[in-house]
Amino acid sequence: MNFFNYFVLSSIVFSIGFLGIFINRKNIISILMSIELMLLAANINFVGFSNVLGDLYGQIFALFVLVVAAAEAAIGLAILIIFFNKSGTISVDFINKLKG
Amino acid sequence: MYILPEIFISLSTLILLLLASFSKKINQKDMAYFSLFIIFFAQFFILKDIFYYEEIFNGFFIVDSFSSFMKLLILICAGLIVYFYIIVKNPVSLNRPEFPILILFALVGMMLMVSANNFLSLFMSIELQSLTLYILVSFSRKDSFSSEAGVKYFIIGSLSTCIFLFGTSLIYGLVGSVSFESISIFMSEQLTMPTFLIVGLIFILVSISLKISAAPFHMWTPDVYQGAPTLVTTLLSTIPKIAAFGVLIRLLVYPFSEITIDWGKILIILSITSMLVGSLGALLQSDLKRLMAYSTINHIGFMLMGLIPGTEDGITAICIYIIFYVTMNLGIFLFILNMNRDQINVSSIKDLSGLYKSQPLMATFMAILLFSMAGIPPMAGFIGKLIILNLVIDNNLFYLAIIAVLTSVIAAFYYIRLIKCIFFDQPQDELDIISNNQSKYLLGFFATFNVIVIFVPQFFLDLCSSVTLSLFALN
Repeated sequence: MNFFNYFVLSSIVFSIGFLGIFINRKNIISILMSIELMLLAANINFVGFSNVLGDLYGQIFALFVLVVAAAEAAIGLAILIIFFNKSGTISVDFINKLKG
Repeated sequence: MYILPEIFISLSTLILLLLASFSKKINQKDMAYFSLFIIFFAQFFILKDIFYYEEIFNGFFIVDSFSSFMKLLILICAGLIVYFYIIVKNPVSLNRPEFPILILFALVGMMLMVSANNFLSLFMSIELQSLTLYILVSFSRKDSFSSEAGVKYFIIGSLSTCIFLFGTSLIYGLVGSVSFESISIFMSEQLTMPTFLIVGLIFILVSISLKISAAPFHMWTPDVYQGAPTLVTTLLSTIPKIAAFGVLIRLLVYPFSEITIDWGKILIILSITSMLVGSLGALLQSDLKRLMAYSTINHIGFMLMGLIPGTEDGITAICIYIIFYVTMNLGIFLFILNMNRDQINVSSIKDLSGLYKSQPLMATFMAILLFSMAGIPPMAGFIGKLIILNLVIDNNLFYLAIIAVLTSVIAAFYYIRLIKCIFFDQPQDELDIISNNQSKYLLGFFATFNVIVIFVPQFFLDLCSSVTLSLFALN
């Protein structure tokens, strides 16, 4: 496996996540899933490049990213619960109170 | 002990957190006083070694006069915002002891951000501040606007994190290290720049543009500013912007200094679109907080212009502009925080009408701050704009200077519309008279600061140029 193979794989995963945020018309949970997918794409890069380069730094970085992703998911779900309690829905179509 | 201020703030915040959860007697006001005390003391630790230069934790963080200056600015702003929290009558939902503690945590994140010297430490500190800010934005749990703003801010913020990480991973794959020093060495050894490096840099620039809300990545700003509790909006419009600018400056000037021309082009596009969006978008707004959001975008465009040449003068100009921008913004937001009618906080432009008849002094202070925002000559905003425009013209970017002047004329229209509203419109339904004296004095202080700067511009120039020297000591 060389540099480019890892890059192609991670780019595909990243693009799926990116499109998932913008094309998504259903609910916010799937946006959270897309965000996780994008973070994992970066992780694939870090671990893969670390393998190619024979350098441990990338793997350490990947561990840090995993920790932060967990914290971010926790806070995101908490915010989502507050939103659900207030509005009674998690559909993307109803996040439209603020506009002008 | 160069990292002492951060350690001091983190430890004392943890102690405050324990106090808040175990002591029944302490209310949010005491917490705010404690936090003010902590912030006040942390400033002395920074002032103690403001002229030192040291890499700490194996090159993870760097303490130089630029980062110390940025930290001081951040601390002063945060102290003022905590003080606003004490003196202003807050909505009930903000009256919880967590609120000042969360501000302190965000503060630690932002202080580490400006002294980060490695992509790993930069990533962790950006996350520390943004995770805290997501919570602060959705702090009013009973308010549907606040929770909606929280959801929006969270999604955009996480998107920005992901883009940042992807860019960092590309740079890591190419360079084999994520420390700024090795990236700088790697770049100076290349004859032709690899495309991957520039792609990675573009990813990182997009991510930071989302943080500083430069157009075309500004779409979250008006919604979040309007939805968040006003005190949090004050915070969002000042401190994270200073910190993100600190990161942007260090990143572009230190590791990526070899490709100034490449990122200069990107910054030109960012600043032109920001100035256009910031001036045109605000014309039809009816909410003051939304209008301030667009005004922030406009000012960010102006500041980005100073970074385009990547020289010492440019960064000095940005530092000066940031100081003035922060004082104007804090003043106007302090007034918005005090805008009550029958004890209920209001923030629409119509509510300002006839302010001069009921509170002439406050109206004058507001007018000074708004003139300063618009860049009318004797005020501070004019000096900031003058220095940046001067720099842009020195670097032969005439079209940029013309666009900047035209957009600030358009921007002046909506600031002056507010002044017309204050002085000449018939009052519909008067606002409550500002009752607390501290707010009046502070507003007066911000207004006088904006007026007297014209007499001592050299002081600010000397101050800022002495701190930016340390950035260029390495190259």
